[in-house]
Amino acid sequence: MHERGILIRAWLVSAVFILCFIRLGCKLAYLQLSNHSKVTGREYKRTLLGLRGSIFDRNGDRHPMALSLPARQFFIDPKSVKKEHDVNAVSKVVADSLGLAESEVLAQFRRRDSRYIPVARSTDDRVYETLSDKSLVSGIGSEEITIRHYPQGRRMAHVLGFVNNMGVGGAGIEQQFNRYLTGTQGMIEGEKDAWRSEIFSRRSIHVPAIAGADIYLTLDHNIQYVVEQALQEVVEKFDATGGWVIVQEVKTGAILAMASSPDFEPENYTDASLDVWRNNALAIVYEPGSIMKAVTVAAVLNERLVTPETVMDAGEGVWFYAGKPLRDHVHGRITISTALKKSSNIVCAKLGLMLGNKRLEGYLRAFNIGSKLGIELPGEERGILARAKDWDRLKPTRIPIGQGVAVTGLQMINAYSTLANGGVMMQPYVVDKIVSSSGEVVFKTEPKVLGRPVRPEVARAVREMLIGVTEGGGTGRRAAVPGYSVAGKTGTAQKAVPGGYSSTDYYASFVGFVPGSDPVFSVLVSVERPRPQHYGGYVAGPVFAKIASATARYLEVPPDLLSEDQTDIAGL
Amino acid sequence: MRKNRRRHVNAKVLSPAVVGMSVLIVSLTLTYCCLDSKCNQLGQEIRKHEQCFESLEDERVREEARWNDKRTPEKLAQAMLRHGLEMDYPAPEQMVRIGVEGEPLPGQIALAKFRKERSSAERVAQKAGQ
Repeated sequence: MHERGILIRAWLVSAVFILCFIRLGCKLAYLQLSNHSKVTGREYKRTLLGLRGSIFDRNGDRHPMALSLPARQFFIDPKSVKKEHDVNAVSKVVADSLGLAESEVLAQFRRRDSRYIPVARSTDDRVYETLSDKSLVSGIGSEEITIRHYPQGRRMAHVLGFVNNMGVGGAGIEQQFNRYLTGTQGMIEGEKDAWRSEIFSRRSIHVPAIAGADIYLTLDHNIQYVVEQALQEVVEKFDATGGWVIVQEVKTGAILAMASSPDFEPENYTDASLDVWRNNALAIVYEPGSIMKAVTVAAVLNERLVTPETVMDAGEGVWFYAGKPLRDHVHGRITISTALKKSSNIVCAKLGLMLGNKRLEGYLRAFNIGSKLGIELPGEERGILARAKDWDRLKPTRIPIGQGVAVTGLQMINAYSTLANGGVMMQPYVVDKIVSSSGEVVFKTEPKVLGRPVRPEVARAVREMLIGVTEGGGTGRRAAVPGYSVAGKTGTAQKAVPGGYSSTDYYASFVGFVPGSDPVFSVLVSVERPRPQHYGGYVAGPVFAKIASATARYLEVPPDLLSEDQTDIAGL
Repeated sequence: MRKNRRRHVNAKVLSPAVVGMSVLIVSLTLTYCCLDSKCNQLGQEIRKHEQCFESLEDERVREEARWNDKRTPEKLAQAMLRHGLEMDYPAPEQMVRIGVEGEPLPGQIALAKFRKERSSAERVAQKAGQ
């Protein structure tokens, strides 16, 4: 019995030992075969940054408007300053290298509440080398990041938008095409040696980063430069609160320039307010005033209700309808053509009545008033156009002169481009193509026809009538461009305020196209609240002339307007 | 009487197979060690080249950005102004249109001459006025 007990105990002890060895064997196998580098603290892991794609203007990759740069984010860790280093001396080196105030850096080094205090970003490798010298400085570290750089500063700010601190587009093209622009991160995993360097032969995973796609715009930075300069000048000259300018190619609908004032610097977008980020050219809804008259005239001509030579009574300066007066200059009996040239309110109001509510609304909607044009930019407004059945008696006399209807600048220029393009309405667009980092074209915009609101001969007739506006006796003489015929229309609209219209605040506009005989591009200029002058022809007309003149020469548009003696000599 | 006894040696002679196997194992081990060392060395070199490539690529991107910063329209205009050059696109009356064959369009030469004469006359008139 005693021997039997000894035997059992021996077996039990042996079993315990065997189990222990099996357990140890399993652990050994796990450490050696599965994840030993992590367990031994030799795991190496590195994220490869996929650069965000660039944005170029229509001239191709010679002129990047936005690009990402590899940079370093420097941060202070006050607790890791070595004892042998003097904090003042370290602060001086850091401040000098990063271009910061020494006192500011010193204050950060004296903080004890955090071990990660971001101080500055830098793209300069020399800064990194200086601040990595452990014999010189300590308590400062860095991490790899990418920063978004806009080589031309404020240029095209509202179209380009900006990228926030998380690397996500926050406005404009950066926001709208964020998924194309965003690069894909890569990674390297393996083992590191005692000096924390990767052991190449132990690399287990290497997934290369993929850069984001590049976007090619239809905008031209040279035209944009002229536009922004001219807009800035007029805003300053007339102490205006803002303004917007659009240049559009009439045959395709491509936007060549789009500017909005006030503007901001995309790299320092947080310095500007939300209002400033807004692209006024497509996000401000305003009553257009007289620039709407060309649409009204096109509609009545298309309905064959009148001809350009039809004579109508423009009254003696005031016309009562539905108990309300409509004021105008004294024109007497004039043709439709002269009414447009002189911008007669009364004649256009009567034309609106001739059309009737339903047809008038139909034409406005055909010109895309009251609905979005679908441009590839965020924040586009649809404007305000009530349904004809909801109009009061006054509306059909006010909408034809640009009151009681609200539009965006983009809608207005597109309507004029339609008249310039023989009545064919094109969809405006700003992105020409998107090219992946491997060179593959992943998206290409083809010009798209949105509709044909008026017949070609009507568009031609209105075009000829609009040329008269910038000639002697017209309201838009200041918009004339030497060497080119200009077709366009002035507009001066009172700003709508709650309960009526402001008597002091106006929108001064001019919209037209060049050359009048065979239009290539159209330009819209709108200035918000100019003072003391507020007339479209006076405020916006010269800006139009400046932009149109430079654009026509830049695009090498042949002049179509020669003086009589020049025409004789040229044999034209 | 001393016996002529044979000395007994305790060592055993290993068989050639065992010796061959041992030499092979040692040779393979040494070769493996050499190759491993060489691989590690090459790996370090590759890694250094990778780092160098990355850093050069980053530098290229940054340098390109710096170059782009200098080519903006306003910077070019400012640079030209520093050298006393104020340039603009030619005015319509300064242009002579050329056809696809490379010849001036009909009447363009006569028109250019006319413009030149007129502008000279205007300059003379201006000077006289002054």
